[in-house]
Amino acid sequence: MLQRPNWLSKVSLKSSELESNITTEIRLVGDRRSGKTAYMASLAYWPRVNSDSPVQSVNSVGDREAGQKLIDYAKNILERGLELQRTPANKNQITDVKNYGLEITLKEQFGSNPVKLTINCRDYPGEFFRDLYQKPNEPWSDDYFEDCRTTMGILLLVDGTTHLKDSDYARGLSEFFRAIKDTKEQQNRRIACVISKCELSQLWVSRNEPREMAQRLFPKTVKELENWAEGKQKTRQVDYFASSAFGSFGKDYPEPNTEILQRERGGYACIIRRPKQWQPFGLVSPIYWLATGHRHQLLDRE
Amino acid sequence: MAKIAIHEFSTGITFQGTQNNWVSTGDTGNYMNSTLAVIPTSVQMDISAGLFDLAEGTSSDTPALIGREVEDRGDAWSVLAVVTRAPDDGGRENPYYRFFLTQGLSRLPDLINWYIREARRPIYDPFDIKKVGFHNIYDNEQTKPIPSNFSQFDKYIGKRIIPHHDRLAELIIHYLAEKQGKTKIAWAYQVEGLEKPEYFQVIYPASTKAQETIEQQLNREPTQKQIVGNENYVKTAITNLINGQNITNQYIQDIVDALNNQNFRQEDWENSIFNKFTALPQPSNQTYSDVSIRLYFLRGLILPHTLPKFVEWLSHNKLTRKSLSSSYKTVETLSKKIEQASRSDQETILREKAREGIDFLIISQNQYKSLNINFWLLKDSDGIYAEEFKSYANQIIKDLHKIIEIKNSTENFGFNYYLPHFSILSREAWKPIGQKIYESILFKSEISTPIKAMDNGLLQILNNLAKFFANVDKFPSGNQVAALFYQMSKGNVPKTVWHRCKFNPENIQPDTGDKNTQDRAFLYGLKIDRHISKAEELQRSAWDKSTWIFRELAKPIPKAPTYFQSLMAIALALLIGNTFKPFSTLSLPNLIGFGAENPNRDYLKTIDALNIISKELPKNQPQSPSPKVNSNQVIQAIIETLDSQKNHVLDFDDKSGSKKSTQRQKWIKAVKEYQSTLKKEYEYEIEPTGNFITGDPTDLVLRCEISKRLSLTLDDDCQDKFTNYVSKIISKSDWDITKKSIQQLRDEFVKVHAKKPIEIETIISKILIIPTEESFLKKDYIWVGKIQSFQKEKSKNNPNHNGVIYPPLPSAAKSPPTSTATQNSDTYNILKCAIAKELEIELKEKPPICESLPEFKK
Repeated sequence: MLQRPNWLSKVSLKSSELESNITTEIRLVGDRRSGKTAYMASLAYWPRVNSDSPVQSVNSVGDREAGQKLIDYAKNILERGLELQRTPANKNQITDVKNYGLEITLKEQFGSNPVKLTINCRDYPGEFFRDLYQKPNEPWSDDYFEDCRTTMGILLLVDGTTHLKDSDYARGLSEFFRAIKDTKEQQNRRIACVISKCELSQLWVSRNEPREMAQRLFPKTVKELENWAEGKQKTRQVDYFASSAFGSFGKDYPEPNTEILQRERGGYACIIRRPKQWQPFGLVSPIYWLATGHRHQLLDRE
Repeated sequence: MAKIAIHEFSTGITFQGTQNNWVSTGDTGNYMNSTLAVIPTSVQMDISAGLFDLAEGTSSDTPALIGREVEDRGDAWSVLAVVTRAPDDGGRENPYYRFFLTQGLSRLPDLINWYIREARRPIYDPFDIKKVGFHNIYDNEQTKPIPSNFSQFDKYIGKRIIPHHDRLAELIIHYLAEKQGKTKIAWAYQVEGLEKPEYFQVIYPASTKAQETIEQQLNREPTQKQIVGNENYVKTAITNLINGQNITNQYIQDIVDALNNQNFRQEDWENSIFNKFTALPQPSNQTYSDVSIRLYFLRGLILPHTLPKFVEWLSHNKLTRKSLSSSYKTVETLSKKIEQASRSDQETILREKAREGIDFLIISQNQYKSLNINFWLLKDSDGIYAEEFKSYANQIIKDLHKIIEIKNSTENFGFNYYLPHFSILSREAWKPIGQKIYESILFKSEISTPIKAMDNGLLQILNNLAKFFANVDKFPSGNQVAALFYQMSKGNVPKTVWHRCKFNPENIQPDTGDKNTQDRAFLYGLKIDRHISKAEELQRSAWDKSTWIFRELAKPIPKAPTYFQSLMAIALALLIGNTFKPFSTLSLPNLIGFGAENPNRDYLKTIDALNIISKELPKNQPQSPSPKVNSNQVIQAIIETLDSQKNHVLDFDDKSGSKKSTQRQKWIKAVKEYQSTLKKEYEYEIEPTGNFITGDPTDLVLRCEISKRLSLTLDDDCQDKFTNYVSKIISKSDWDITKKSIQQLRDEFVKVHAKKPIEIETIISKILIIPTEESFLKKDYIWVGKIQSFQKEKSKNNPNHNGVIYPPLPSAAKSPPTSTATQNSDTYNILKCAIAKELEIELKEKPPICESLPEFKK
């Protein structure tokens, strides 16, 4: 088979190898208070104002009640400026974990049809990940691990303000890989390591270099991920992303659109500052990568 | 009255601080401070279903109370939940639950009395340690009866929301809920908001604002809901099944139980289960995620009348072949697993549902006959539908046979009288058609002739049924049903169907009539005739002549020695046998599968099949003013198709040669190569034997291909079964245009930019991703497929993606006329820019189309 010309590869990887309808399963895992539900809620309530965004629309699909709930969450945090409640945990019953279906339509580009990403994402309670590093001897129901084992896309959300917990996360990941028996080369899997709360100034400056940022803030976690992904067959992939559910405002000197309620080792607790100027970023890019294996430059630059 | 046990358990958390000032550091994922070793499943199910949940974004210092009776499979409890809000270490205000419960329904007044008077309104308290077995005992004689002055609250009866400022007590709220007469009581007291207010009979809001919010919510969901039967189990089962969880027999059992539960009606399935998910499948809903596919599949199984919509919906998606087949795969996996799980279903209700679904699919096909519906659901080998469909055709045959029996008996009554005797025609969906079929057979003297007296509607239905079984059922019995319906609607049976019927000798009875026996079969007493084409009639008349000669010559010659007669007969038989073998292959023994495989006969069958194609295809074109394509052109096209590389130099006139004949070897080889391509690259069920017969897949694909090349009308099969191959075939003239265009493009670069032809050819192949081993512009189906992909990727103005490259318009014509809008030269121009880019040269006149593509921008 001939190699494709170089100039074709960048564009055509997106439009030819990709179909215009892509569906994928994702598990959203991360520590408590890393912003998992806020991530999903922001995504579901995608602002339709930014004409520059490559995202055309985001709609709920699947479980109608869950979809409505996500919108209600979004309204609470984004319009009413409230803080979200924790996602309740039931370690014996994975069926209690909410399954969110979203259909993300990207605008048409390069003469291709609009790409539709349909994702089915389970928003795991933070305690699931916390217990991996805190209580590895009190395991959760194997259904959780089986659920991850059979899913190709894992979105690992890491609160960028919790760099002091790097060792915890690394230990949690190592436990996680052990528990899902991810030790064989054959297993195809992608993990998107997404740094959240990147509207905060200390993270915002590095948002365009997520890999470096992750490496700098969470060296042990990154090492754990890289070790996992190592292998000749490239069946396991990891990549890094920067995201913000609240975004920032102002053009020349952007300010984080958040009000910090609490700062401590476990991270910053924030609520939105100016609901009307809500402009999240980096939410779709990891999902696109998880679904396709390719980075979408426009989504990255969003 | 008696003493009752009041149990309790609380949300499990880890926490820091003191009893009066604590924060949660996270959930444990288990309950804590429980007096029960195991939380009753019925209670757990309602908790999981969110029926105790307060809404997000609400807060109140006063604890909220939820009273709810739960019951499932005889496991009944009265539950009083006390909900307190408290902060966690991240500053989030979360609701924490303390559940008090006692066994049995109607115990809520006991719980309220105990809670207020004896326990003194305890709230959620992680420091209040409880142990299994150490529950509270309450003497319910102390429970106050319904207040004597309750009539003063009559004005609230029937109201769902009690105004906040009216300040009623918990017990009054309970009795107001009880007055609504529902089987299971549910009320909420002092709540700021509820996740599912529609599941409560009476709600007392904690504030005026809460009252407004809840009213708005109820406007959205006006119907009051109650959990019916094992609804929660079913919801869990369906949710898990659609999310692709491992299928456990328990899920199937939960669904089966609900199907068997008369209280769980069709509306409950629709409203409480399926409407919980996204909108129904319809052409506008193009979300083909695995979740929606599984959801609609399950809906089709449980509510069979919705199955046709599902199949139609999935057939209409505009996905690529790859994702279409992955959609089918999704269904197949689920269907297979359900089939396996339903084997243990003693009551067979799921299988019956699948069968009902098939009824609807078949009967409602009249509604979508013009659409291209793929009935793959019935064809996959192990799914629940395919499994049920296996015996379906045989039962129809038996039903028809039964009608004949009735017809031949001395007494016959109306259709309804015989309902218990039929298996399929008596089924609910079939009945109206069954009755018509019954009557038309009964009141007709000869059922094998198409009945003019029959109404047109019925003829159409029978014709559709025939087509359906011919297309969908791969088994001989399915084709036999098709044959019967064809016979009844058209008076004869198409050849392809006839061949696939694979009649057994017992089906075929010698006929004393005027028909040749090989063209007539008797199926359980129903006579069917094969359709004879004009071409065959001609052949047959030749055959008749030959048999006449044979008969004449073989008549006993007077006084001649017997051995001479025998010799003569044998010699003649050999002579005629050889000469007329192509015709004799149509004789009965072959058609009904007699005789061992014979390479010679196989080859002759192939030639015969080719002959038939050449005679039949020219009929698929307008015959006036005069047909454009004749048999010779078809033969020529066959040769070009089978020998596109001109490797074999086929000659159709020298085809019946001896076993050693090189032409014969060449034909077999060419057919074999063709079959290999179809098998390897398109995964059709074709064995590369080098031979084929009329009606088998090779024959059908070849017919499609030749028809497309010669622009003749395509058979339905081409779109239904072979579309992935046929879509890559373009007409001969289009391929010529494409070849010329590409050659012109090559020559342009050779001439203007002084490049070598081979260099440009390599680049073109590279851009179009033609496999290296393929020669330049040789195999059209490879090139066309690649050009189509290139067009899909690059050329949005050419919605057809037809695989044809048109040459550039003369410069005089600035804009192409509308009629040639799809014949624009975009592909040519984009390819041109791509070549230039690859060569790293600047085009003098860059085609404007390239400007719209970012990769060609400077």
